[in-house]
Amino acid sequence: MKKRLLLLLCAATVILTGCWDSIELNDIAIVTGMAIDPGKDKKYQLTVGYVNPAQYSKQNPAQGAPVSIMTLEGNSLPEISAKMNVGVSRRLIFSHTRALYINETVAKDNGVSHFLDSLERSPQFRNDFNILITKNHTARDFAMINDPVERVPSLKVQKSIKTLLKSWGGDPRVRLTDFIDAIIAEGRSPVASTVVIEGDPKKGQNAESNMEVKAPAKIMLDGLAVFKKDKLIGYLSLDDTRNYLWTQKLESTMISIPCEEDQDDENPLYFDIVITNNKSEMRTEYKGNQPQLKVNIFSEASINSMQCQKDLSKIATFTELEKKSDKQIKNMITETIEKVQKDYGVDIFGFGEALNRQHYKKAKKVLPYWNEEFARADVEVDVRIALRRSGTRSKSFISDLPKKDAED
Amino acid sequence: MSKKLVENISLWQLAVLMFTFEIGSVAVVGVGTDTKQDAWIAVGVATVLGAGLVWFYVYLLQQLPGRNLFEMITFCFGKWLGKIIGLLYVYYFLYISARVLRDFCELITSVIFESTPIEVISITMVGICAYMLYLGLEVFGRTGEVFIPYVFTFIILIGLAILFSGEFELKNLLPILGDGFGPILKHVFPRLLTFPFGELVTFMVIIPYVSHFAKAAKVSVFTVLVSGFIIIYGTLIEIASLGARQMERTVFPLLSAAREISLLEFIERVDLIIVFVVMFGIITKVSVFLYGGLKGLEHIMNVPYRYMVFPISMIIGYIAIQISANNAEHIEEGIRFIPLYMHIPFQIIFPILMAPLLIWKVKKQKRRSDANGSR
Repeated sequence: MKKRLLLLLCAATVILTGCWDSIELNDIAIVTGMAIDPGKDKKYQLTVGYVNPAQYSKQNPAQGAPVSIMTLEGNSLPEISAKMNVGVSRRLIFSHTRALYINETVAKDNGVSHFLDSLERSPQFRNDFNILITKNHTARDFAMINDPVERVPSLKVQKSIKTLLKSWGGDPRVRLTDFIDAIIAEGRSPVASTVVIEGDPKKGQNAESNMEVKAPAKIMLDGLAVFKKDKLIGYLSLDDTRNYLWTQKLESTMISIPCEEDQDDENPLYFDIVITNNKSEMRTEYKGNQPQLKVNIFSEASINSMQCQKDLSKIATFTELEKKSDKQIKNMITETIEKVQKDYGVDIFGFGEALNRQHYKKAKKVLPYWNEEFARADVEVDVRIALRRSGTRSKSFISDLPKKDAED
Repeated sequence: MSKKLVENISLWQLAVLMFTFEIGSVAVVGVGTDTKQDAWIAVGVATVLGAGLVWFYVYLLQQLPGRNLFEMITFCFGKWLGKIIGLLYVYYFLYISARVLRDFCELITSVIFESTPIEVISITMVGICAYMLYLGLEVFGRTGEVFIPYVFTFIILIGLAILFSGEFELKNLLPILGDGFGPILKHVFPRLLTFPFGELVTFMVIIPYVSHFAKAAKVSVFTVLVSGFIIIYGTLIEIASLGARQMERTVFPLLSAAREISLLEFIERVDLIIVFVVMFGIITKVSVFLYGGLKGLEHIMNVPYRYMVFPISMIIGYIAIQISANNAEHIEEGIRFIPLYMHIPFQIIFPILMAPLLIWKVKKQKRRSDANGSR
């Protein structure tokens, strides 16, 4: 009996000592950002930014940089990241990656699919990081810009995108799987956010820059990168990005609309509406041989500011303002769609997928050359804004000011 | 002849085992991915057909109450031919048991324990199954009973969590039946009907030991319908959250879908819950197949199956690793060869061939006993 027990204990020491794959916490380095640049000798240059944990100790935070970076060249991401330990002491853990910066040159020349596959295949990467195309500076610079509030640059970017989506909506809300799905989809082309650095990236790298009130360098969201299959072909502005998002899934936004259509340029007057609830639906139809793209938008909104002299306690005013907003937003969105049609000729909106859902038989025929069909299609945007309320005041005090006409 | 222990499980335990058996493998590899966004319709069609198939199995068992598949085969074909056919079934059950185990090992080694040798996972898993079967069918049934609430709630919860994290896009289900019923039927037969529903043929070894045998038919059919419903639910989740294109490309769709969950930025990375469901489903499935094989050996060799539990299960653990050199081979075999050369003969053709013989023999026996009684 005793012998048996001893044997059991021996066996237990082997079995119960834990997982095969366990790594101690002080042996890992958590990667928060990855940046991909074109390599000099090899295909890519990969930069990883990993957190310096001593910076986050509550009792006595160490003075120093919140993240460290390491750059290497190689032909594939897994190869480079496995080799990173030539300069990094700890094992790199990628499951908390927050941002993937891709240099625009890489996206333009090589296409992105070669390294996206390795990200999708690896069980380490989750589907929750942002794909960002970097403009003007190398992607490496973006992994290094300090932020006084969030400290870790990639965390800052992700948080800023998340917040922007709630307040204004300037990010296409694209994750890795959506992006890959759009590459292979026949009725949709991929998009990604773009970022730029405002200021001097050299100064922004220094941890001391966190001491300054006005940060010497800042990462800013800049709009949209348009792809054809997996190659970057152009950019859209932030405003276009919001309009793009409006056709997809807009959470909330604030928009200023001119009070009169032909106002004097010296002192234009605007009112602001905040969109609180938004529903958009896309329909693609064929009239004979001509494709028709339709977007129906219904948004609930409330008035947030008023520069013109309108009496907001009257129904008529609400109806008038609703009509003005309808028209303004309709024009904006139509303009964006037509711009994409004319400049890039790729369907980033997913009208082709809508056709596939709505008219499967027709879609089967035209989807193989859908982008040409998209480029020549008629666009019809139908916007219906429902103004619900006007904040805590009904009439604006402005409407009690003596009117201009009365002054004469 | 050696003394046989007669063990009984309740109807509820039978239902639990069938249910976990059905959803186990499906939760690992996903079903109907070839039919794209119509996978759930295909599963629905297969469920109805599968329920019919299970009713047929129980109908066969009802002809000879209290006897399992192997005893039935001997009854129909005589001692020697019966033994040969019985051995073929044993081979089938044990092989499928190893395949199911391999499914799970692939999941664990490619998603969670990347550097753990596959042998360790295989042996520990089959060790649990072996221990459970060594303790007997009753213990197996009770184990199922203990875990079923978790399995059930977890699956439902995962679906709700995906729904509430906003990843659930009903748009992904469109167009419904874009290419008509043709591709669906092609996929249902043979693939979907045989896996996961036809595999219930193994339960022909277990159902005779249910205490209220008279109600077994109703309960089995009902269980198949319920589990079919849950599989449809799971498939809908997969399609709606991943989209048809991505679902086709993922090796483990339900797990990938669970990875999309992010509730209130607080409940995240809950894919381990799916691993739990899968793990329990796999334990059940491996055990049921293993039990089928062992019972067959017991019948053929006249040795209580408990003597063989550990050696056979270790062999299974070994075969699971040896059956294929890599994941691609494993999957391609499962798609192209197994349904055609193993599932269809053993699940459909053979029982159908046996049915008239069985009915005729039972009638003959009855007539003889009636004649004996009247004499």
